[in-house]
Amino acid sequence: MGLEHATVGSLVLLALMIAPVLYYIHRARRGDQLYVRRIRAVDAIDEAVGRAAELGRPMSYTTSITGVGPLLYACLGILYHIGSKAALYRNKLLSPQSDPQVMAITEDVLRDAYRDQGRLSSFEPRNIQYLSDEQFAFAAGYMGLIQREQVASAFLFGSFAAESLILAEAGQQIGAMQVAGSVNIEQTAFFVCTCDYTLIGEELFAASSYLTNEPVQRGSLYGQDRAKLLIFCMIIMGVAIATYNSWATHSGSRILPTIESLVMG
Amino acid sequence: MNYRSRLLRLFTFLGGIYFFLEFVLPESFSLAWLGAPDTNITFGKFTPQISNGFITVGAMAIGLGLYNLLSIHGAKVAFRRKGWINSVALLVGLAAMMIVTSRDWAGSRQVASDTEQLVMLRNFTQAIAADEESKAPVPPVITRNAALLSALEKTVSEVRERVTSQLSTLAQDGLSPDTPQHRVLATANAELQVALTSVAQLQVALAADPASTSRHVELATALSQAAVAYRQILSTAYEQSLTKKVYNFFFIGIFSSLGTAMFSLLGFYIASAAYRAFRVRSTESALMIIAALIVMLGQIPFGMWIWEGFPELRLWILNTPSAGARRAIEIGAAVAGLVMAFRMWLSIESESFSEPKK
Amino acid sequence: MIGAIDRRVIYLLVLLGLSIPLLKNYSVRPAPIAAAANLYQLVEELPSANGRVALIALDYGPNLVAENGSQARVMIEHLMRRRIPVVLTALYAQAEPYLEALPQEIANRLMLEFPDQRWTYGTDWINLGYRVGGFQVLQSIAKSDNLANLLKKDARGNPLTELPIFSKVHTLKDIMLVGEFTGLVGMLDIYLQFLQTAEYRPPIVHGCTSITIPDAYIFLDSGQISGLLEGIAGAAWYSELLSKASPARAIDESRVLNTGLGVAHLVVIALMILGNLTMLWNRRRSE
Repeated sequence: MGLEHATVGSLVLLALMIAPVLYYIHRARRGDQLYVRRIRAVDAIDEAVGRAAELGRPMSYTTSITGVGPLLYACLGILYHIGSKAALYRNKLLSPQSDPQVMAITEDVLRDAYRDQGRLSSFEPRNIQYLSDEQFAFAAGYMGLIQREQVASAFLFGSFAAESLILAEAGQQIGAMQVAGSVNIEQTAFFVCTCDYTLIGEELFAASSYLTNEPVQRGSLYGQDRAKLLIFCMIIMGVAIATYNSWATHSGSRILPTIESLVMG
Repeated sequence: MNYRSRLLRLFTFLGGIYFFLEFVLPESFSLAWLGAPDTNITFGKFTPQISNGFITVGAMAIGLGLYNLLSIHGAKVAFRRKGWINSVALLVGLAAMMIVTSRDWAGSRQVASDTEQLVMLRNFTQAIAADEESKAPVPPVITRNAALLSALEKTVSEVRERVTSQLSTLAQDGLSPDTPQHRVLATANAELQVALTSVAQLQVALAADPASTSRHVELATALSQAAVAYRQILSTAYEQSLTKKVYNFFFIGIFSSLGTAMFSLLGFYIASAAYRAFRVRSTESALMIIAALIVMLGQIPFGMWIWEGFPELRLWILNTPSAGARRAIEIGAAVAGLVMAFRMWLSIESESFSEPKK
Repeated sequence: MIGAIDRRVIYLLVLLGLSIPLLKNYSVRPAPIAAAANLYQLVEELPSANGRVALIALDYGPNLVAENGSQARVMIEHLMRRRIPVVLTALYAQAEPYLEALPQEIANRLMLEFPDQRWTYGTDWINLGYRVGGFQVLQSIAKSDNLANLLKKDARGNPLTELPIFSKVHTLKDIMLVGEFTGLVGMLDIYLQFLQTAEYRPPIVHGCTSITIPDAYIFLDSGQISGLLEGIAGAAWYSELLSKASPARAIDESRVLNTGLGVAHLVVIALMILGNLTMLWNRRRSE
């Protein structure tokens, strides 16, 4: 049945998942070194930015149909890093947009990035263009934009739907170096085929932490991993309980409560 | 931390706390433990209004997009920058679509308001009968019935005139008798005439006995049926109007067709991506290609010609390794999303966004 | 070294592979799809409506009409054959034309097949139209104890209280089946999440596009959805099962579309094999 309101079990689970995050953020802020393994695709972001600067051609960064939410926040971390590099190397960064609200937030983040590099005068709001909130109209506009501007590096991060292959193939056709990351697994498959480097699933959330080396993001990432460890243990327990219960049903022994019944009530 | 930042954090927290409590607290709970035994709180009753607020904010954000489009492309046209012709096309298309959509919206509203007259008369008829039964303090039934009769006469003749004119316009425009629209119109018109005949008969009866409300239920039913049929005729006729045809040309003819064409590019791009990327360079890529081949052959008719076991094997791949891997990725992304949402709610932001650098 | 095939040649091959079967109306028996067969059985074994309805959501636009439209067509046809009243709606604006046209087209075909029977609007189906609000609409439906009051009118402006189909429909419990046809990201999730109460959850069946099949299988395997139509292949096999049960039934387009898609798949497979052979040949020559 449904979970319309929280049960005690679900609240306990929520607390167990959030507590490690808060704990490790506290530790990271205190100065503790928290190890994050290297992800090749994240290193490739700097490589792509450098490539664009050497070639003297612009870069593009798009979040496509991503709306305002936690995922956008993760993408903004990467955008800030790329924007800082673009300001430093005085390289043009195009950011075609599909959502007006996201466009306003993106403009703010990029302006901050340029300001923090002392290059506010180089910041061009015109490079943050609203194309369309219609999926394929956006894809058509994006294709036209990057092919006219001949971008050297293209970054695609966020939530994508069917237009992902169109966007990525457009970059492929002009020989751009492409780094992509999406939480939509179906689209990740297309990115793997067409982009040079791809971040899969939550690596997108980790990328921001990896690039900025911020204590809050590092601690958050560490805490997430502990939360996943908890889920891992629950899966093992659940499998063990289900296996035991299937034996107990046949032998007439007492059946254990399942994880679902404990959490959902 | 400055005041602006503090205020933002406070409002963010307050905005999130409502939905958090709505999830955590039961649907309805009593405050008896606080010494208020008769007080029941339904916490979630404001959710629809709050959600409507989000929709309103989202709608206002469209203005941002419009402003951006006009400023960027307007400047391109004004200063004859590179590619200004494309900007002209965009702005003309934008204006045309806005005009056409506004006219279509106005036309639809007109159809809805035209049929409302019969519905209002129906409601008035029901109200007269109900008020008479409940002895409500309203004007005398004779006065109200007289007003009803007068309104009925006017409205029914308007409806007949309008329907006659619509049908003759459609006949002149060449609406073929073989089309479904013609059949719908003919059926609706027949139903309307039957309903209006009942109304006319009941009007006569009411005129003969203006203090009675015995036939009001019948009259209300006949007016309901007339309203349904009238609505059907007007909306079918509107579908054949020039405004609707122009709208359909822009929306279905241009916009939808262009969207479908863009979507169809995927078919070609998949083929070129598959040719370029599906190469056996390692064990993993070999496994990927074998899995792709099995799944493709398992769902097309021709796969069965090669081997009948492909559908079963495809099912196993989808149900077992694929589902397992996808679940793992989904769980990871969901946990990351949950943590990010909590950080946003509690404003535990990274320093790069939260405070201006000194 | 053998060079790569120009991508324009690849596009031409795909175009020919897709268009020749469609133009020639060539169709072959589709591959059996277990999920479609299970869904067929589920609908076949539904009890008599007794005043309850099936809620069918068409959340697709012109881009996805080839897949989702074909799925919706076979499903609604099966429900209409079983005389289970259908309430159509959409949370996606571009689906609006299909909400009106599709059930009427199916009713017309059924009345041709069965001249002595009628399928009429208001009794066998209604169109609630596009509803603004996304998940809030579903949440409201789940919580409502008077759906006619909540939803007020159908797309034609008729008050729901006056339509025979809605005479015994009051709460979510009176919805015996929910069909969600979409390829949009996240759309199924909101139906699963919000169209339920603590006491009752209607069986939800899903028509998905080919891209989202692996995703949909997770929900099918966990029991969150009770049935699944996988792209055009699922619709074609469902159509095959309907034709087996009703031999006088006219063949619908899903079979032809499925065949065209099958030929295109063969083209892609041939390109994959060719690409690998080319790579192997060039590697051997350079050694």
